[in-house]
Amino acid sequence: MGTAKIMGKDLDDLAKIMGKDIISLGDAAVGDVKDPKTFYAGSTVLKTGTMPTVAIAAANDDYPAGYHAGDVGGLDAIDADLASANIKSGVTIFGKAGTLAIIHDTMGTDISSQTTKASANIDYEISSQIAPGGDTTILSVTITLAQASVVEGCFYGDFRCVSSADNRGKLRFFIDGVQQSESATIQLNDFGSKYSSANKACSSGDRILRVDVHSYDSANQYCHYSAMVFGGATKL
Amino acid sequence: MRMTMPITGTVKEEKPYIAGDENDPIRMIDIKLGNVSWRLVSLDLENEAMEIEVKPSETINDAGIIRPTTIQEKTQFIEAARNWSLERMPKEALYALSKSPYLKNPFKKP
Repeated sequence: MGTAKIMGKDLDDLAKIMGKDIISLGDAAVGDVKDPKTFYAGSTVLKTGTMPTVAIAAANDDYPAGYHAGDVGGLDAIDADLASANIKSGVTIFGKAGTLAIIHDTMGTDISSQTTKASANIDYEISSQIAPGGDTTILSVTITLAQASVVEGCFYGDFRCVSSADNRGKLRFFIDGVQQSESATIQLNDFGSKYSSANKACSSGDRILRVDVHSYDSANQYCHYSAMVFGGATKL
Repeated sequence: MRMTMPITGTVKEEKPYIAGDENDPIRMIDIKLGNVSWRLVSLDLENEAMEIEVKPSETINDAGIIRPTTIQEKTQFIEAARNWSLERMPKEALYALSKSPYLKNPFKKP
């Protein structure tokens, strides 16, 4: 640290001669200034900043205090895994809107790993518990169409109510919140003979495919439902 | 066989394509058509109706045994479903019977 002098006089003294208080205007503390930059604040004593230079890294989620040089490439230049394709559709992280199709059953279980094909295909089996006497969504999947396509779906099912004689239900298929089809009445051990299917021309973008089961069981019993789902999209 | 049914739900978008509210999708009113399946043919938001292609079930539960449906049974299924259509009943009556609310369409011009 040193004391600034001009023509052998302290700056403070020169300032007083001029009727000014020029040096003490600064209010930075050493912790506010990047190390090793120097500055004056509050006195004519030259001070050196102590703020450390830090950086975020892909290896952890630490966000240390200090000076960040930044990266004009954005956060995804630091960690390439920060990409839309890695983020669930409907979720936005640091401005990146997710496009990853997540398939889940009504119990909230992520069963995306059961899909081995491209995101536009939704072939898999599902088994779920159905609420009595009403509609239960057993599948909701968002597929992202790069171009106008025909979206197709076909769903088979089987009912097994725990302690009710009424093992009946229907499958209902929706695209973008519009019902496309309904199966005939599905009954116990009738797997494969009843299905709901539809296809619809859709424009590009996110399309929500959904399958509901309507249970006729009014005995306030829960049913278990098994379904095979085949679906996908074919470009127009 | 094609027939026309009233619809319920909430319209979320009309353009560039029709989309329903995921919490209240555009769907057929809550009427039991019986042992038939159907597919959407066209949607008419202006008249709050959908045209559907109806097919009878290929099987029936006959005293606990699943067997193929006969031609007569298939005809009965279709006729029974048709009785609940707009071709046979007034729209207001079908909404009242189903207890389904009318379609909510914020884009519809008064």
